Amino acid sequence: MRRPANIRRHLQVTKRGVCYDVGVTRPKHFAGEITVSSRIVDYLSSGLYESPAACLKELINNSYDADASLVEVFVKPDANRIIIADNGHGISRSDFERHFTRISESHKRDDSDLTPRGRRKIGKIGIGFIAANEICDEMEIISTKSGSTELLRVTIHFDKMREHLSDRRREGDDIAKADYTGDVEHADNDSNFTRIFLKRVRGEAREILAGARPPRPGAKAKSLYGLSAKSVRKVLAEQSPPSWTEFDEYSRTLLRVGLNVPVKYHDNWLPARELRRVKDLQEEVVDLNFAVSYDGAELRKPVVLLPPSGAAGEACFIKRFEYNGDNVAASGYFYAQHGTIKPEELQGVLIRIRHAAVGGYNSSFLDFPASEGSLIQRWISAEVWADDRLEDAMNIDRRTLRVAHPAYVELQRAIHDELRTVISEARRRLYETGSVERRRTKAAVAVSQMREVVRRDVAPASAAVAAELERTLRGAERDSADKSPFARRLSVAEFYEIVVDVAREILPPRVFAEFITRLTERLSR
Amino acid sequence: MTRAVDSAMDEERPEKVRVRSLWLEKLRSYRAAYPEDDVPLYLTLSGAYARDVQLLIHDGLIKVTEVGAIETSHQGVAVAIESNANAVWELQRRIPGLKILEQPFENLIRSGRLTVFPQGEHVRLCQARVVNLDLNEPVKFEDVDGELVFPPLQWVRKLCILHAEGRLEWCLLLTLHGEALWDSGETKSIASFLGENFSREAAFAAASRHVLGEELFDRIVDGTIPAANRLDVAEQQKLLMLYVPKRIAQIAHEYGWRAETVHNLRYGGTTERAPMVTWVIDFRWDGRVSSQPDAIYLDSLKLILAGAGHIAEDGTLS
Repeated sequence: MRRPANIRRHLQVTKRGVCYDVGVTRPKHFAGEITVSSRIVDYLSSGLYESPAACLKELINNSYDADASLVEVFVKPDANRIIIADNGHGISRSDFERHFTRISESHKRDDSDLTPRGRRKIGKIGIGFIAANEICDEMEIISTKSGSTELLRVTIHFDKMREHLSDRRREGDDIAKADYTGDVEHADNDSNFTRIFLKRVRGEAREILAGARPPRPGAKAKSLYGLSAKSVRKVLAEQSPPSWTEFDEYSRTLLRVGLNVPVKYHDNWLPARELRRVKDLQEEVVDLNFAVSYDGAELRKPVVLLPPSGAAGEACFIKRFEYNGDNVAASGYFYAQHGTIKPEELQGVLIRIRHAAVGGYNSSFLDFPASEGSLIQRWISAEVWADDRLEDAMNIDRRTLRVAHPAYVELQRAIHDELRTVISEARRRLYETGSVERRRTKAAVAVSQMREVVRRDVAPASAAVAAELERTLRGAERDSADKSPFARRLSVAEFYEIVVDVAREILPPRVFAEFITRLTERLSR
Repeated sequence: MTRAVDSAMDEERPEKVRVRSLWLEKLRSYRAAYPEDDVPLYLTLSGAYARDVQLLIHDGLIKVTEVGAIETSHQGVAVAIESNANAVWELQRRIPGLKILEQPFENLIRSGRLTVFPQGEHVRLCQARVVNLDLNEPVKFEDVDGELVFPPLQWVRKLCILHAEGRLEWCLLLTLHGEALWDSGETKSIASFLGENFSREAAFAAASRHVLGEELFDRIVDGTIPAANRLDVAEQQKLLMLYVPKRIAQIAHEYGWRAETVHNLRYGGTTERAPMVTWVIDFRWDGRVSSQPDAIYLDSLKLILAGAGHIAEDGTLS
């Protein structure tokens, strides 16, 4: 691609560096190249993100780092163009050139690890912006900073990605990643925002983001599009989908993004008693004052953990997790319930660093032996907030951790130890206790059904047999659930077998025969 | 960074409210007539605030979810055209799920030239049943090969051609700034065009005389009309009320459309309010196109001033 001569001339200036002499009037129009360190380019070229959702959450986390309190994402109707707009501090041309014309080592935390409002920055190397290249061919950024009358408008063209590597190689080991052209316009009011427009969204990503691909044959995918947070919670809580695959891809993207970024939990996302135990964690997220609106609907963490309805005895519990080791510290919770966690995407442990999730729930609990409490493992959902030392172990894709890193190894061990305790506690509190309780419930139901048989069919045939059966039933009620003969589901035939056995025991043979005749007549009516 | 055009379109002044109510009436009737369409009901230059689309939502022609986003099944009902990125953002946040084409209308229609036309999905979008060109700008002519061309009328020509492909009856909602700042040459050319049917169509001549007033009518007929930019604002509006729909009728009949001007209204024009002119024109397919095209044109002329009127500051129609 040949650039116009005036842009090429200007490039010679901008490519030498981003510093300008004070007093030099900078042109309103500018252009240049974004380069990416070769350390990173391989990741980017081969596809850094497993889904378009991952690209979106990078951009949303950028807004968080810009101290935004609200991010608005617009995808529908067709994801041809996506908008991510925030009310964060905005960027100027200098900021853009400084942070984004070369994606390499840490830049975002050069000045401070904290944002001006005191948030710990999630991003490290400004890769969020460039992540957009995986889903679109063009990105427009419009931004202004509070107190500035300058409006920055930059368009990044990712077409260079498709050029051959040798054509993109630049000085040193850098690889040219994209061209950009920009203008500085006048902003007539004192506001601050950044609006990102992802344009020419690529086919596959577009279909996924819009939820346009048909569901699997014979299925009708549900959609969460246009639902309020309250309604989304209701769907997640009451319909208990076994998996997010029950939803269309639009909704799955929405759920994945919500899981990752520092938005609030749903109201009553846990049973009241359990919720009290993690109130501080919940409030910590509220205190971040960060909200995301996705096509007009407020995004919440899609974590709704409620035990299956009708569970007998103690149905669930929360165990707080605290760990302070040599290489890492972490805190969080382990939630266990009687029965498989639904949806399956919430089974396992989710690691968060600085309030952003590292990938999704790890269903193997960081390679916990599958043989240990294999059934109960699927009853557990955990979230763990690790300190910054684990960040070192995080790969550039922000969804995986380096398993040999000391912080990871130590956290893995701590989580495994905790999980063993939780499994053991779940076995005792939920499985065994629940088992006795369930047998007791079954026995009570069976006794009640038997009483009905006695009242309806036996008493009219023989008062003596009915009385004896009542004594037997009272005895059964006194028995422990373990010993009760009624502590299982009885068939109709079994009920009458009991009646016949009792009658045979207490009635003389002739009377017994008459009783059977009367009972049979009665039953045949 | 509110644009003047958005402020103007967002106005809740009674005249504009009245105009929008006329639009809504049309939209309702087209929805009722074509409930199972596979083309959009409405294509609009809505501006950032999309008052007109909001009206459709309020009226139930477009259904929205509990968070105000357009329901999936209604996402193709209305399509907005907006090329300014900030306005696109404003529009999308007001109406999530609204289909927005991010380009100027001229690009969508592929300019006024008749050698290039929209392609792919854009054909279907341009075939919307109701097209709203709320331009808020004055009629300025361009001299193309010695011919005076007003670009929006070239767009109407292309819309006529596109709708004719499927004989899709449609409606044009056109609003222009009411100033006719034409020089004497342009004015004379337009006067000649206006006067050409007065002798053949007595009813049209009488209606024109009534709308324009005796003096202006006579000066058009005898060719002594001064440059339009020297007329007062109301007279400029009236010239437009005659010229624009007549020109549209002439264009439409070439492609088989009988242009039925339902409303032909002027409003504003006081010191505080910009002069505006607005039209609601139905395009009915007329099978006489090959045998009696002139008859279609003459029938269209009869209706040009039937719906002529004025919207007062309080919104009343007279």
